[in-house]
Amino acid sequence: MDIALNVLTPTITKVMNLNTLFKSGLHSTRLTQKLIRVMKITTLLMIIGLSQVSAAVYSQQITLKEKNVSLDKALKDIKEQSGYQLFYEEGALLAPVTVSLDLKQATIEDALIAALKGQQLDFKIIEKTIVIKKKEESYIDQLKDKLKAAMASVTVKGQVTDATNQPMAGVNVREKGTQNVVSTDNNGKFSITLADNNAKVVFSYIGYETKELSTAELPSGVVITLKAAENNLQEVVISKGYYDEKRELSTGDVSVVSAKIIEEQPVTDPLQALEGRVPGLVITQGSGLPGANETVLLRGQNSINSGNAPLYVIDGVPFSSTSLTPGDIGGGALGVANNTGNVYTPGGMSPFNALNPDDIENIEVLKDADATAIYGSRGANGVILITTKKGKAGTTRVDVDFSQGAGQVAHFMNLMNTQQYLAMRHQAFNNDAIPFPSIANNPYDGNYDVNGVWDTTRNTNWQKVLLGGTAHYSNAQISVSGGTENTTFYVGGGFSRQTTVFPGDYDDAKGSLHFSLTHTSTNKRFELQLSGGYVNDNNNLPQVDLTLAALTLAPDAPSLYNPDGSINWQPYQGHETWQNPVSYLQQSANAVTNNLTSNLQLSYLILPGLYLKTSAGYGDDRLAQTNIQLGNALPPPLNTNPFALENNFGNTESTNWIIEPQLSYTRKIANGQFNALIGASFQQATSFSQDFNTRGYSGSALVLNPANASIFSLAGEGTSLYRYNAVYARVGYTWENKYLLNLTANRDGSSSFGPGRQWGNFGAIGVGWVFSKEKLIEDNLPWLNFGKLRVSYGTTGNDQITPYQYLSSYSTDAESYQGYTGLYPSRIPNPDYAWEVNKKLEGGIEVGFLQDRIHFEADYYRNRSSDQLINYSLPYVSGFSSVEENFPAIIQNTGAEFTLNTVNVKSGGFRWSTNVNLSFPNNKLVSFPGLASSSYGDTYVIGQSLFIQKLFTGSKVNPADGVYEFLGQKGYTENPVYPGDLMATAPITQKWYGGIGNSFSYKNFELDVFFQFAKQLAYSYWSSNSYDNAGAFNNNEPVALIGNTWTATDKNAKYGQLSTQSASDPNRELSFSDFDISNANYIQLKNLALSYSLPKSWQQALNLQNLRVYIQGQNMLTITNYFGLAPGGSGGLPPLRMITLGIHASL
Amino acid sequence: MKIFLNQITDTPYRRSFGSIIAFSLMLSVFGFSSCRKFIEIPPPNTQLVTASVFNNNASATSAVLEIYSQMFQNQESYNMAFDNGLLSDELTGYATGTNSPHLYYTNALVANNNSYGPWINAYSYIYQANAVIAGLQQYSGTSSVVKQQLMGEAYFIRAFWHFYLTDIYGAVPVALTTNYTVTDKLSRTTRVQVLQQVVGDLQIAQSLLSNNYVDATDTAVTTDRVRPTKAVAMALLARAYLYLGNYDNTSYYTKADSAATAVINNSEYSLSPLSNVFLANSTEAIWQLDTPQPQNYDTPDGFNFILLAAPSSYHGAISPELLEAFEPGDQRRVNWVDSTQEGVSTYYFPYKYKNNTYLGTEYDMVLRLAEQYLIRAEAKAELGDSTAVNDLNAIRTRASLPNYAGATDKASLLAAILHERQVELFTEWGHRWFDLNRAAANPVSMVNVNTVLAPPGNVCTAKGGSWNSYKQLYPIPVPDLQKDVNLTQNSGY
Repeated sequence: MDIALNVLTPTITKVMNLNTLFKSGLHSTRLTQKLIRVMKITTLLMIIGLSQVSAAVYSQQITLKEKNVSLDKALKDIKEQSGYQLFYEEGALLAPVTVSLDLKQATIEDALIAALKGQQLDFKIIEKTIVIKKKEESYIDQLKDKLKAAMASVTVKGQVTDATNQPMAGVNVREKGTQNVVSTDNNGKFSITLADNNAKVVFSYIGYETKELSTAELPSGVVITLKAAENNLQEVVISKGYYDEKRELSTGDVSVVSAKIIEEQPVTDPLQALEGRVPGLVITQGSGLPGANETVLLRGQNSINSGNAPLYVIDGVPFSSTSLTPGDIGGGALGVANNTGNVYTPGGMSPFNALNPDDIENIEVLKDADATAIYGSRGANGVILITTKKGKAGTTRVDVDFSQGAGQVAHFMNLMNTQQYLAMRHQAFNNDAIPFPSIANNPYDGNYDVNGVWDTTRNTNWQKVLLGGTAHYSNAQISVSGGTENTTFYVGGGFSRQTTVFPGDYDDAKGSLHFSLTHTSTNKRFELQLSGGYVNDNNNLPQVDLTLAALTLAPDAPSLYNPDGSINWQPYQGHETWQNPVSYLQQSANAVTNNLTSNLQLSYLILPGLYLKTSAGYGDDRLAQTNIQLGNALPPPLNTNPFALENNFGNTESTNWIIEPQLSYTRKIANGQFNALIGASFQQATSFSQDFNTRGYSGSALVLNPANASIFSLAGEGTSLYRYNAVYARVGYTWENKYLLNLTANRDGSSSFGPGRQWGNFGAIGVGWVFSKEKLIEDNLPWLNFGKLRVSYGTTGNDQITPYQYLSSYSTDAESYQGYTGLYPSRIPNPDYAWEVNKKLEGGIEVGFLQDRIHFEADYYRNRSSDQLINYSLPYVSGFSSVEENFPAIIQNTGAEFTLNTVNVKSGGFRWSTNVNLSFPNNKLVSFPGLASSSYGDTYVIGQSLFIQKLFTGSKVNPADGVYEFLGQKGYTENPVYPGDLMATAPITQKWYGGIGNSFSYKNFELDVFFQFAKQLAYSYWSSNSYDNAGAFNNNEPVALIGNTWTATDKNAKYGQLSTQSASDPNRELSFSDFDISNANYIQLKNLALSYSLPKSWQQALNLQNLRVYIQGQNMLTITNYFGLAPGGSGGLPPLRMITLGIHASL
Repeated sequence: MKIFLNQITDTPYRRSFGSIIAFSLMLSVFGFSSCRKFIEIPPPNTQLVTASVFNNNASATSAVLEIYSQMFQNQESYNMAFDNGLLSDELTGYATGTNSPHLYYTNALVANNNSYGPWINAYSYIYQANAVIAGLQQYSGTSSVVKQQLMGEAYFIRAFWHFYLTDIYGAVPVALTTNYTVTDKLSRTTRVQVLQQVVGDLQIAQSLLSNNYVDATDTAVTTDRVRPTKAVAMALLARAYLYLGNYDNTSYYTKADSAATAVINNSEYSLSPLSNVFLANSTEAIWQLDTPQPQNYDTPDGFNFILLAAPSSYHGAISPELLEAFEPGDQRRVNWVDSTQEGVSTYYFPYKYKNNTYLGTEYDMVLRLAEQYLIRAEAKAELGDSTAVNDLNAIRTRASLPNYAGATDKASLLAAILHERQVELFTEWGHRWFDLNRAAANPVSMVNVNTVLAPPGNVCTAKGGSWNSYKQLYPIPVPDLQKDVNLTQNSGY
């Protein structure tokens, strides 16, 4: 113990003060020395404890060893190291004396006290400025004061808490203008004896606003509340996964989304809470159905198709973003998971739906090489770190939150009514020169909507019937947290449920449990952190998203039910005349997900600065899908056919474990801080799935139990094993908190590659310069309180491919021929592919003005990925549709990202702050040898974005005949040649996008308003509801077509001629044209959150620490010119407008 | 590592947490030394590496049998019969809008992202056949008898599917390897060259295949006619020669004649009574597909064609044209056609297969003897040999019809044979569609796809479409045009 204490003692301000006091005023005795030592130990432990429990506590540390230098130089050196400014008060003259200093990690106060020892000088620290002044009183006067103070015994006792009434430990409580300072204890309690009865007491804590109170304002037992400081961004500690850094000193690009932002949004999938919040991150929801998957692109598309998903890590354990929805039987309305790298259509259940957003403390998005290279082969698309909530030392706190709300489709299409629809059909028959059909003349005619079979006096607004419902949302969460200095805990549980807008009883219900336990040994050397969570999600949806039916059903389509309540098939001559949408509701798709995540971290301090750490985690994610087709789903006579009744079910299971031993070392070297880390990683992920079809039920009542099936067959099975092994290292050095260097390296191996191709080396260098600490700038630009330039460069890799693509093997067919079970080739093997390499270059500038009330950050990046791992599309002639290959194509993503945080008003209890983020992405296919002769020859163009589509372009109506014509190689033509006349469109993606958030708080009210916006091209309404169907049977259309379609008398109409034909339709080429692309610019009021905290007096009366009521809205309002349900919609149900009302109480 | 350990022993704190440190270190040390092995993973237990497949008689046989199994499971016989039946004058379709059966029915196939016809599956079967040939050549663990039989079957499968591809799409790429760097750049080969390749493969197959039908051991003789034999290859060869006669030159008719004769003279085969033709292992069966197990129907055709109610979008009924084609007294009209009543409408359907569920008594017919008679009749008619009438009569007699009494000039005979094929081979593997198309290539034929679908037959108009002769061929699937730059689209699309 002694060794360690001697090394560390000088860091303790209070001990030094006491020392001087005792030495000067009292006799040193063995007893007092012992007492001092005990106090030293306690304080030391507290400081170590604090710096570990809350990594946010940092102090300016000075290390100086100087012999016989001038006082002037000594002070300047202290100034240099601390980064503070140094001023001399008038009359404070430095005596030409020499001093000797030996300081190790001393605080600035200690350093100054040591330097000024014996001088008639004193100092004062104002903000970040040291003021050297004349000692005002003689030594004797000082002694008198001390005696007086001791005799007066003006002692102030009280407690310090934060805005949420949490006790704050380690707060500096100082008698103003003196060295008399104490810290609050673990319960936030303090006791300070003031020398001067009239002195003010200063309460300060890093990251919080400093408070100054007179003794009159400090009655005994007072509770002082410290507010979090505005935009104190530089002090924030960010995590880069394997290590933490102070944001101020970070050389990497990391965005953080806090629990507050996540909690303010009524979403069941935490990823949805990130939409628009992080520059460079684009999240596209597959649909507005609960549980729908999303595509996530961080800084564009890096890979043609080997996976563009970032790496997700929850509390140190990698989390698979692959949807577990079984591919063989499908996920019903959520669709089949698309894990092939297609960036447009996610499908299946979102794996993130199996997380509880309320358990999340923050989400960090690591973007550049500096931050991601340590993840080696997995970091190419960035890394998203999800950290769950942990307990804080202090009194036990119970938080209860309950909210309830409703969601609706925000915007409906203005579709034709029956009268308008029939007119459109008439016009189409006229255009085709086909006599208007009549069932009487032709019993085989299928135009039931107009030929006399359907009642043309009916008029149904199908959008209202099928999508007009209200989705109910309820969410209840409870958490208990607290702990002691050594042990903290957090236990949270929650339940949430969201129904759909469809008719019928469909919902997504989620129950979750989360816990976290941290323990530090009494000697502070050993630390343990255990966290875990379990979520059960039950997602129950129809098998078909009713949106398409709602948009296209003819308004005169029959009623859903017969008078007797049975499903109306409107039969004609014994067979049904329509697909009654109610039948979709007789086909349910139920997905039950169980997700376990757990992580254990052990850390041991071997020597000062040297930690041995081991992190181990286990995750288990399971999904059981059951798709049931009841008899009612089918028209008679099929509805009684036992083979039409189906119960298809499947289970997918994915488990994952990881062990990561690490050794980290930190120490001062010269005027800098040195950090080193070396570690290894062992990860295994397995997945297993089995899907079954069962049929042959003798009645709908028996379908629920597959045991009643007469036919039971394996629909598909899959198993995979992934292993990952890495050794990684990091060396960081910061010189005087001014010059920053960070080196990371990773050598890793992934089982995704064949023998001999598994290992790769990755690394990055990051440098930074905190120029605001340069004297020249400090002296000349006092309004610039922070400025940093940083540059990083490095390589990362991508191994997101289907496993075993190198293996030549055969798979088993479930069926046998001549009694032999069949074997078919699993794939076209290629043993030679390896990493896809992504080289990232980034430069950034961060500046803070006016005490950080304005903070601005700008980044420019250039990511180039090469050796493209392509699931190289093959013509069907090759026997398989694709083969895995490394392709020497180079894809470049460049972009600029801006973040601005401002505190606009901060006065009289009113606070208004704004944050803006803005991204300008640019994607380019730099090279692709042999593109023309490759299977991408008709998809991509060198020098253009991967987001282009090759389509017939320039689509416009030929006024002569009302047929669309396109700009082909030989000019405008109605019969473009495939593929010769295909031209590249502009990139179908965001040109720029971002978000603006405004936070207002006044007294107990808080209002957050967040807008998301984008300038983009997207697929148009016509891509999902093809215009060549307009005029054909059972295809309702928007009112906008009325009077705007070509006819012989209106040859300059906007839209081409209507036709009852489909495939031989004059408009049939439209589906391959830029007619399916449109502007989809929008500004959306994404989130609105208003909350009100009950006044303190009420809360105390209710025995509550805090009581808050709130109203939150999601997707509130969209301003767009986009023609469709939602800008760039997929054709499915758009995200809902959700409004919730809630109450949050802390006991 | 060593330095690291020394540091630990130098510190006085190791005792309290020594075990944890030791454990963690062991993990790291263990880890660093075993990295390489750690990431080498075994093959998944659902897969068998190729080497072991072809080093074993049973698994190598499984790789071949699977192709037939897939042909059954993918309902190739029904798809061919249904799609081409809709295109020609055999079936009435009941789909509407953009449902693909409606496009077939109205002869309105368009080049778009959908793939019409067996393109995808056929090239997959061809790939698997090529993989069997390559696997058997590379690994030598199979017995020579087994290897010879399987090789022969692989060549046969490759020929079989190239034959149908060229019938449907015209000039098509010929895929003779599994090497994707070759097959992803293939150009189209003319129809005649494809047929010549088919003939070449069938000749190899014929030289390798067993004389007898074999069971899954590839050596033991069985009554199940579900594996290719020499006679099976010969039967397809006869047909390929006949087509070459139509599309290339008349010298092939002689070869067609002799190949068909070889099959007809084979004592294994004889014409069965009408009601027995489609039973499992009927005397007429040259090659049938076994019913893979488990299965809920005997044959895809029986399952799909037999109507219990009015047809849905994906079912058809016999067209009025086909119904009228039967001569009075034709027992095939009685035995092979049935109907169902729904309201005021009667829907006629092919009733060659009697089972629409699994009874295990019928097999999916691929090649049968009656066609060999008609091949020989046609070849002889083309060669001016009037004994063609004998073969025609053999088929008519079985259907209880009187002998052919019409004119015996080439054109009349060809017309009579075409008509006989219409009522004998209806809704089997698309025969009618290919026959009408072949006839269009033959200057002598008065009745062909153009005269039937367009005026004077006017069938296409009756179906609600409009005919153009380019529609004889399907469009080449657009995705392949995009991926294989050397591929071209059929003209007209």
